[in-house]
Amino acid sequence: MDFEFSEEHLLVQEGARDLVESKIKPAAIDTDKNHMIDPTLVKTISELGYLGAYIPEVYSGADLDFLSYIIIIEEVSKACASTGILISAHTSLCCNPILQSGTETQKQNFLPSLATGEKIGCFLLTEPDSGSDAANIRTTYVEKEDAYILNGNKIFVTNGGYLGIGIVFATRDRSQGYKGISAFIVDLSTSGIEIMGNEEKLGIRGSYTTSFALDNVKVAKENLLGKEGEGFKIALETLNGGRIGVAAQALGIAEGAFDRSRAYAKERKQFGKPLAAVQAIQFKLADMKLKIESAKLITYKAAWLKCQKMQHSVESAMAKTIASETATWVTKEAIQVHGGYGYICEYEVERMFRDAKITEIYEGTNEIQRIVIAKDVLK
Amino acid sequence: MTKILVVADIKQNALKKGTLELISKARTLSENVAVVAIGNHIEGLIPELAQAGTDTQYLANDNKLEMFSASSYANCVIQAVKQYQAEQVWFAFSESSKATAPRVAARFKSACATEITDISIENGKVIVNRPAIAGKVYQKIQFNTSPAVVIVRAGAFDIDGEYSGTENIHNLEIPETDLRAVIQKIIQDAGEEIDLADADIVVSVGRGVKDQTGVDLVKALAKDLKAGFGSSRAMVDAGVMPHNSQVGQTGKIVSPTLYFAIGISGAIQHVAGMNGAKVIVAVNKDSEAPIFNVADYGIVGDLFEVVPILRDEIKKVRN
Amino acid sequence: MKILTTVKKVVDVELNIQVKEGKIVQDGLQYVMNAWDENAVEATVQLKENNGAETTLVCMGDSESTLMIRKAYAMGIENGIHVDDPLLESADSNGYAKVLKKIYENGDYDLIITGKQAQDTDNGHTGIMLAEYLDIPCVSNVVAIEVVDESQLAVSRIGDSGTEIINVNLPALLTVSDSINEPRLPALRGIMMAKKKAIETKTLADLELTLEQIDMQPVRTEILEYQAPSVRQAGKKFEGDAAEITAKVVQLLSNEAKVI
Repeated sequence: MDFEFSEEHLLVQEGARDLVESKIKPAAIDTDKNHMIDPTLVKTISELGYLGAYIPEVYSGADLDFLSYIIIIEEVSKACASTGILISAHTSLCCNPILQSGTETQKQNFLPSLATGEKIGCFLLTEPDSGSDAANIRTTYVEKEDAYILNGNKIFVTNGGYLGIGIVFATRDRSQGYKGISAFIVDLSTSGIEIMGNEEKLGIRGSYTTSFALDNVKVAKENLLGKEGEGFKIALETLNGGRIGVAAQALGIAEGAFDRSRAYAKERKQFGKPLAAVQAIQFKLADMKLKIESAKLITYKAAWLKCQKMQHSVESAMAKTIASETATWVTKEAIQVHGGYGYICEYEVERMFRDAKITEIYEGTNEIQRIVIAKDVLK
Repeated sequence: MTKILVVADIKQNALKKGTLELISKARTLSENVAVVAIGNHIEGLIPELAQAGTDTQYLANDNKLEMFSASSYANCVIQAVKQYQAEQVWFAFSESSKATAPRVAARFKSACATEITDISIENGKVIVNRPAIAGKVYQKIQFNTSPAVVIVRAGAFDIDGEYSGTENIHNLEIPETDLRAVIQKIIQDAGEEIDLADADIVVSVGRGVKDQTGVDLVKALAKDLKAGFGSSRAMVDAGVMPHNSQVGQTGKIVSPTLYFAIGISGAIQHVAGMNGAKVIVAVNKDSEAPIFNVADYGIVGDLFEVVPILRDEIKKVRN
Repeated sequence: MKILTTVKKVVDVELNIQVKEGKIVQDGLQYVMNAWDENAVEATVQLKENNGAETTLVCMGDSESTLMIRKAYAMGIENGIHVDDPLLESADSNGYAKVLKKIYENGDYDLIITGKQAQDTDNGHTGIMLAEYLDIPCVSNVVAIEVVDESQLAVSRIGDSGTEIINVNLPALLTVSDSINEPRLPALRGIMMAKKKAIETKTLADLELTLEQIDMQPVRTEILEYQAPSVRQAGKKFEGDAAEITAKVVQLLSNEAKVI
């Protein structure tokens, strides 16, 4: 057993910290306020290779391992959860399924532009009437000559607004249930795809979340991902890995809020002594640390299992649940430690509080995670 | 009794006040204090140097020494050390000293300590105190070799006590110019009239002043006070303030009686350069800015509003 | 041009540093590449990119120092030498300079670039002493480097009375200021390649150096103890009407502090 980072992981962590301190952290308040990440920042992140962290070198990626990627998401999310999810949704939900299930031609066609950030990736599964019940999607496809024609509506598409590459899920025949679902790699600038706005959200407001209407969208046959009918399996496998990314994001948010709370408690003086000298505050900080450390252990364990190509779906579910619930709790307490200042934008913990909530919801709600965990413990 | 050689700090043919502070402090440790003066047209400084308390004055006065050259200056100091058989060599803090002192130490197979704040002799050994790690710790260092070469932090010593000396001039050999590194020209930094290291009051600007308009506003305050005009790293990087105005760990260390930090957040690198000031006044609109942790008097407010009022009020008090 | 760049692993000065019983509390300290040495690495890589150069980095220190070398690799340095010897633990500037002298003599370098000082000691001696021992020209506090030709550089340095433009013959040593450049952020692909590159590790014995030769016997200076600086207490902070509080502060400067 080894809890130490390797030299490679330390290097990645330091590199990510440099990027975060110099570019991402100073922009975090504006990212939230402007409902977008400054395009020059997205460009910097792309140029430094952060959108291709674990894509192999042959497809223009940095060829790092999954653990390195998790370290990056954690570090970025400490300062800005919106930027964290930009990288995480792109990598986990778009690059990953192509890597896992794509043909060599598909990898060559799509991965280089994704790895370099020329195209931003996203995942089009959720629909107005199908959230957790993913087998029940209504977007359909039919075969027509040398192509598939897709019709339907997709919502809550993280990174959708960049109109890059999407993994789109559609059914051939709803009566076949999950067996009728297939996955497609779709360039979102294809005609027939209508984008509908940037969602006004509680948190991760810098994340470009959109809805799409698909009206007779033509997808070349070669862009079917996996085999016909394998879409649901691809979606589940993708979300299994994606959950570790969300766990890392939640972990980062919690750590960011904790770091600020600790610093503030040491600095701020009330009744002639620092807040940190007050036991009520000490206990809050101790509880934050307790939860963060537990979340960190399970998150890194899940990431390690994935690196070892071992079964990790239950650990991913646990990591996502623990880390996200840690994030919402820690950020709430962080505001309390800051008192009135915590409620003010400038102190950033209120943003972290708003950002944290989504981690309990997306890429499988915590209720769905508990179903996965329960099923495993009762098997 | 230990023999101390003080290297005179001369700029534009004038003696900087640090030199007299060093001589005064040296006299509290020893009656044998010499000075070495290097430059061009500086023979007129000798009476003042003698008067300050030195018994021997080494002079290297030549147009070859008009512009600073570390190798030539080191050569002159080394000659003086040898002739005087100095056991201690004291420099005042400056970029020139930082470039020269380590060479002198290396030549004598001895060591150097930079930015010392105190010096004493215990059991025959030279002991110095100096800050390290951005001023977060102080080191107490003992020299085992001679001469002990030190660079004294600006403002570390006061002119203390009445000393007098005698004129006893020794002319040094003028070293040949090192042709391997030749100064082509010096671009004088514009605007700065009062040397930061000498100034009794320093007014510094930070990111909060935004641009030239803000700089001009604060500069008027510095003029009123006849203060040195400094700046944080951010303003130098932004190209708004000249390099030699930077106060901080990487720039100048100042310890004036009064320091105004205007629109400076108070990064530790900046604080490391000014926390030796006797009184610090900070103006910043962010009430949580770390500068307020070191300021004796903090004004939370918009500097564009505060600075003109500050000028008026100071004028009132002074009249 | 063949460039030797030196870097030092230093304690992260952004973190809290505590002193207990005359020693620095080691627990909780983190180490980073000396910030000025990052500028030295960036300056080196820029010379390589703009004028062509063979770049070698040297770092002295314990096994963790290899991280500094790999970071420099990720920024674009080609070769790395790690001098790892427990005997160097208490080395001072002289000791480091003497080891670097040997490294320099083993290569066939035209230029040495170092940061102007290390953040832990804040001394700035090593580079200048090294130049003295090598008897090569040295320019400190450099803010710009231009290549004139194969045997000469034009460098700018911030001196006491302004910016000095100096023509310096090679071989030479430059110590750089942090104003010279903004060190690049390493790209992930650079990091990936950095981990694969070899690092040459040397002990003092490998370099055929004895403690006498590197001035560590006898010891020239000893740090007797560390002390915590006297803490500056936060004073009076005024908020409210600008005219009112400013007038109040000026009154205090005059009557209480007696400095105006």
